[in-house]
Amino acid sequence: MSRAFPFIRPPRDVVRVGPWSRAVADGVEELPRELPDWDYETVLSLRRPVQVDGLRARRSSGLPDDAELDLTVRWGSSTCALRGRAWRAPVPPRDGAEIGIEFDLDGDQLGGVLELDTVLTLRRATDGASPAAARRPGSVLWNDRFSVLLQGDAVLFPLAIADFQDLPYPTGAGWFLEIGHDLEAAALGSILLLANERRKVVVDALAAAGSPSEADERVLSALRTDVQRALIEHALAHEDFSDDVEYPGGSLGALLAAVLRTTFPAFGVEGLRRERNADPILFTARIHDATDLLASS
Amino acid sequence: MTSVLYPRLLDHAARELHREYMDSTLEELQGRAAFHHRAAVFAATGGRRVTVDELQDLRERIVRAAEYAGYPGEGRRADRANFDLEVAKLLHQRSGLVAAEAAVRSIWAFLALVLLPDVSYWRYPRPPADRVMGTDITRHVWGRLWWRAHLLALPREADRYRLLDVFGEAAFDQIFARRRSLGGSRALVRALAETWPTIDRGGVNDRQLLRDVLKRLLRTSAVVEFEALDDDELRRQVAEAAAESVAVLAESEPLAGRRHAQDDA
Repeated sequence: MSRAFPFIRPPRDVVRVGPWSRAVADGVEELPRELPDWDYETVLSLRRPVQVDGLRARRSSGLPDDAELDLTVRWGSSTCALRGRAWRAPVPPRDGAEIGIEFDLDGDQLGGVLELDTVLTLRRATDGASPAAARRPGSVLWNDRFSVLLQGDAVLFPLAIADFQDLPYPTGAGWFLEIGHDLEAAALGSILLLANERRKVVVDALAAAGSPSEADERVLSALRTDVQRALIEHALAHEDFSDDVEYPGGSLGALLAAVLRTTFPAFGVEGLRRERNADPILFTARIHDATDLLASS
Repeated sequence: MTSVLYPRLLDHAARELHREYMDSTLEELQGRAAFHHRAAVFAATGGRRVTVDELQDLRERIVRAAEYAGYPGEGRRADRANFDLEVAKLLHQRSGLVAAEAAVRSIWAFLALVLLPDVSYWRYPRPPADRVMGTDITRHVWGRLWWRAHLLALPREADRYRLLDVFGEAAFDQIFARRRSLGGSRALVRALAETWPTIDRGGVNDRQLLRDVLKRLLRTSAVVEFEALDDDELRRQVAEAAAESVAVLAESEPLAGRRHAQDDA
């Protein structure tokens, strides 16, 4: 969604950003869109090269050459709905200034989708600015967002191993997906995959999800398809779920909408409800097809 | 920081316990307090599992704080407000929860319905389900307190919880309910708490004033990045928004409407 800014902003190309990257054990790698191995104890060491035309940014914003500008990175976490400043540096008044963004981000505030906003802001206006120029400190002159899905482990959700004898589910079921009903609640706090410790083949496959054998891969494929089926069924059976609603980022509603979009890009929610009711067996087969059930990798 | 993982009480069990506890006496609930439940599971995410000793210690401390506030008697309203502040500190300092884990509603259901059923139903007698089940953490008897402490704590100061009592419950709820838009910025919430006592209200009702200030800050946040500001500039902008609110509200509000100027914030 575009915002109307009540002040002049410079052209997009006054800031040129390189890719985000992260430090790993044997060097640096480009930051992927998903971090399957992330957990609360992970510290992300992030970097990004940036080139700013500091003088052009000022002049094309109607600001005098001695106005003070900052480049800031803001982090935001969908699960906790928290955000904060990760990094900030002043932008010198010259073109082609190279600025290296570099900071560590502790995992204890994060979860779900991590948003990294790179923002060029006014720190302090000085005399001689155009009447149409930004005046308020913090005014956003340029910004850019990068999102990373954290906690994307083999099955995407928090997992618990339990004895189904103790739970109200069939004792011999391999797994059960617990899903909340509040569509605006954080997805990762609303979904829990329970695996039955009585089904060793399932527990072993989940334990080996990082480097599965062929047999494990078959179990995981069945599990993934069934989890996706459960989410789709949950969305379609939930009377308040609709594709007219924009659910908050990282919420259960947003996740269900994303699963439906990815699995059935050509259908709306009502169309899918009709399809499922008219021919539930064919509908299930469509999910098998869309999720590549048991397709060899 | 290593997160301590708490058991997650599955929904069906939480619902059943709540149904049963609504008609239980305090004595019966005291007998139901426990450190584990058959339908409570640990998630296999990073961190270590909370021990029974830690759960016992947390329970004892919270029961002790409740006793200071009159438990098992009804106690005074002011004592319950102090109890909330005490427990907010306790939970935040001692539970070992990290924010991502504290956003999981089923851990709060475990605390309310398994570890502390007696104190939970004492604090909110015959509560609606969201007070104990965690369906809405902003309303949960314990979850909302952890989050209040988390958003207002000053980790670098000796008295790190000195801002906890700036806002009353209803006022903090206004901020917390806007968590996704404004309230998730700890810097902004702290700046608001630092500034709030210094604002010249001019007789304007606190609740209305806070609502209007939050509205102004939300509007400003569309074009200003608060996280880019230093603390003093952030406080200056909050004070400026508050002064604008006071000017507008004082103009529009009839004098008779200002009687409750200090009511609930």
